[in-house]
Amino acid sequence: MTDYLRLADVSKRFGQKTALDNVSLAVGEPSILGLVGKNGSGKTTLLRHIVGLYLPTSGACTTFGRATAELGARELARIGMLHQHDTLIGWMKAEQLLNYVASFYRVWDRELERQLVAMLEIVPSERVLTMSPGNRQKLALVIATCHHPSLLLLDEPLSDLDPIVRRDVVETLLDRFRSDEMAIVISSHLLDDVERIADRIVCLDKGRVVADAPLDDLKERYEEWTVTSPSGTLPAHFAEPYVVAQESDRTRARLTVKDPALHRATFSATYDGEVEQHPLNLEQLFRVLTGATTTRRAEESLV
Amino acid sequence: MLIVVDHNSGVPVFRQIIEQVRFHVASGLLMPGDELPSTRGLSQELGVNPMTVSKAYSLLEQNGLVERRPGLPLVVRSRTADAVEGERLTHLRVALEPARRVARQLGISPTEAASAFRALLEATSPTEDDK
Repeated sequence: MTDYLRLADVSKRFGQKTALDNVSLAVGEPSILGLVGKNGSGKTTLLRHIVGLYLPTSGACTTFGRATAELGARELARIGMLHQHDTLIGWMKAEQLLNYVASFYRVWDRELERQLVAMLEIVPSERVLTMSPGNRQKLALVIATCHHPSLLLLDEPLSDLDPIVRRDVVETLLDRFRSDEMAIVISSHLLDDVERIADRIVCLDKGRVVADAPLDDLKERYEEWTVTSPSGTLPAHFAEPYVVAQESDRTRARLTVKDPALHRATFSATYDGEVEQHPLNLEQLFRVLTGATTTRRAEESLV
Repeated sequence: MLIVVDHNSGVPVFRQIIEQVRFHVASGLLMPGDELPSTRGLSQELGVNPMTVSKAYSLLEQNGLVERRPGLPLVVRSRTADAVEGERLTHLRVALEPARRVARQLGISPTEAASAFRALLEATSPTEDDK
């Protein structure tokens, strides 16, 4: 089994600020991991640790089984990375830059490069400096992928793209994933797109991992219940620990419930009401995981 | 095979695939012996992670709906008439669940609700024939 990456109790401090707080994370098999979290939650810091651009203040960080402080050409050649703020050489034309980057690798797939350049509508003769942020992002993706990396790290690769192009890029990533045995880590605040491709979600909050689970499991771990009680006998506040967010006015309640399958029967035995169960999408899950879902009181109106 | 997935509905995509294959089998769109698309093919068509498709396929196989043959596409297994009948009613019940809830909430009696459903069925059947 290939060990793609492993962080064990990694903490990273910049002066007084703790950017990563005891993060443990391992990717041992091909997977598309969606790294989500609010701005400043530590996503970029985590990604930079994987390639050794940052070294942990404490804890251990290995990539392909090797400590990231000691990564050599062999390991680095198996990694593709797209940085959040591009680091491309501005005065070069797209084609020059591609040739330049290709020269560093033993293997560079010209055919794949040609396909991607055509599909993403990159103009080979355009200078990097005059490109739109979106086009630079697309070029950076081509640069990160044509050496067939086993580990592809993408820091906000979709942020500057319009929705149509985002779809193309997402398709490209899936296509790469189907063709090559690889692990992809993609950080993004565009949760709809992450939801499309990721099979696993890691959610960071204030430098801590607050969730690490297959996306499908995460979706089934929480549910929203709309409860209607014609008798008006619902409590103004549900004290059950599995109710993680709520608003209630006694005849109607909207609850966010953890482990719904475990509690559905008990709930119906306790309260007189019709329960409508709704799954949560990633954006709604994200609110629950990062504590953005507030518990509203009965006096506030239900929308 | 017509499968449509909604990525952001909150229902895991593998469940959506399973449900729709079951529905197509119940409706007869997929017959015993029919082949399912390859994992790769379907994942390409739907634009989803191939792991999602293989998870759906494994569960369909575990449930005895499809059969895996080495090196060949998955095929729909033959089922007894009773099993198919049961499956069709299950789909209808699931679809009627929201209607049941509305009837309860509005205090509509079972007799009234049943006759409303009957009237809908009878009213829409001519248009179905027109197609």
